[in-house]
Amino acid sequence: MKLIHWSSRRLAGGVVAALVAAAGALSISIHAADAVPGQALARLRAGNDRFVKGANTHVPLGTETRESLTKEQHPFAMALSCADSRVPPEYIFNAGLGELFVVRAAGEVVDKSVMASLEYGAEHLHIPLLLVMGHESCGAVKAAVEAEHGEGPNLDYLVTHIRAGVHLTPGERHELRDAVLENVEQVINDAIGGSQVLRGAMAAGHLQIVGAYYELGTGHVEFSQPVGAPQTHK
Amino acid sequence: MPSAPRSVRLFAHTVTAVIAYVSLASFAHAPATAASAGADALARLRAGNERFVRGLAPDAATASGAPVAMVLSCADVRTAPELVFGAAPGQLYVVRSLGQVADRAVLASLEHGAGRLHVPLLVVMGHDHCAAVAAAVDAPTNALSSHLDYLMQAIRAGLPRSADERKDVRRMVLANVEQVINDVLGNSPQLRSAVGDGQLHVVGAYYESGTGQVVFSDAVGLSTSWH
Repeated sequence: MKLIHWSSRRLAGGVVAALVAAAGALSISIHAADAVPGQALARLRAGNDRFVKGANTHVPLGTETRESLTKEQHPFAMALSCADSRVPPEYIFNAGLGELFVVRAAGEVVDKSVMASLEYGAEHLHIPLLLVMGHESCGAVKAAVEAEHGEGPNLDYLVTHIRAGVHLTPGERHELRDAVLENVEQVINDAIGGSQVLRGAMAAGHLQIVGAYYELGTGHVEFSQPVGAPQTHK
Repeated sequence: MPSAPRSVRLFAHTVTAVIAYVSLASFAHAPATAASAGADALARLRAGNERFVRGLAPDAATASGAPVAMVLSCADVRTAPELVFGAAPGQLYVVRSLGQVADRAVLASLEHGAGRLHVPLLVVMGHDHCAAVAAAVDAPTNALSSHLDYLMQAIRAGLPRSADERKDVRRMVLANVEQVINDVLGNSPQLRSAVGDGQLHVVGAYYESGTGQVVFSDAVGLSTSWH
């Protein structure tokens, strides 16, 4: 059983096994390729379509929006993406203030502060969708694949976590795109496997997780099949 | 990761409303090019924020070249640095976590930005109405999960203890920004030495979500306790 499906590449076995183990324990339902994605995902797709076509709609940024947001916030999705300057989720999905809860770290790597942020988004803000987005030419993934350990505990942590998901074949050229996709899978595994709060939200049908790959040149975002049940009332 | 000792004081605690203009010239020992790169970056952020406050759209054209600044800010929906600073894709290297708390991946992200991308400025930005800081003030100590407990503890470590001071959320957020900068410099030898060498400038910032205004602290200098 495959949990994360990319349209254009086969999934690596070990990563899937870990994800299946995490999901299986909670009987998370997996959607077939023709399943209707949740409304939040449709909104991300639509926003990215506008971005790709250069047809961005005006996003709410002004005083009125700012004032209303001091009182309440209802983000429709949370994004875990890279710190890279070229991949701001707000732009890529043509979203304004108040629409996206955004967590960013190099290589989307999860640590305690990142995990706590995602848990807060799911548990307290009731955000129905978590997007984990890697991107083309990711310097953090590239550095982790090529670098040795020994750059200090923090960068070593990053290298270790990224390498855990990337299946290096000795002597064979490893395409960076594959490594980025594998890393996204690994991050999703880490998030689900490491957080009871996220697992609980998924099991209750409150949270869906989707992997994504952003192409710098075209601006296009490729989505994986979502993991976890979308909210039935959506 | 344990919180670093609190050596850096950024904001004037006796005057709650005042955050002074950053004087990057105080990095007298820094090479002139690096110092001006940090100052230029800060000037660009200020100009971009002024556009945002006036309701002008950010520059949509993708920037080429290296990012001008790193921003460590909150995951909160109101605080998107690209929007707040009117920055085009490619201009800002952005790390975000709730309460801008910095565990290992966050620290490594900043080290990647400073060490490999040679970004000359780090802005650590808190904001008003910060739910994470408010929760750290109010929430019971045994919260929800080990991760959220970690987050609450990291934020609490920087907060003043007196009940009077704790009523002032702005003051709490400023204290949190100071603590995060202390944690970042305390837990990353690379970032410490980049600041010491004048390659990296660090400033604290506070975002007022109603007006859209960002106020900046003085630049962080390394006190003797770092050496």
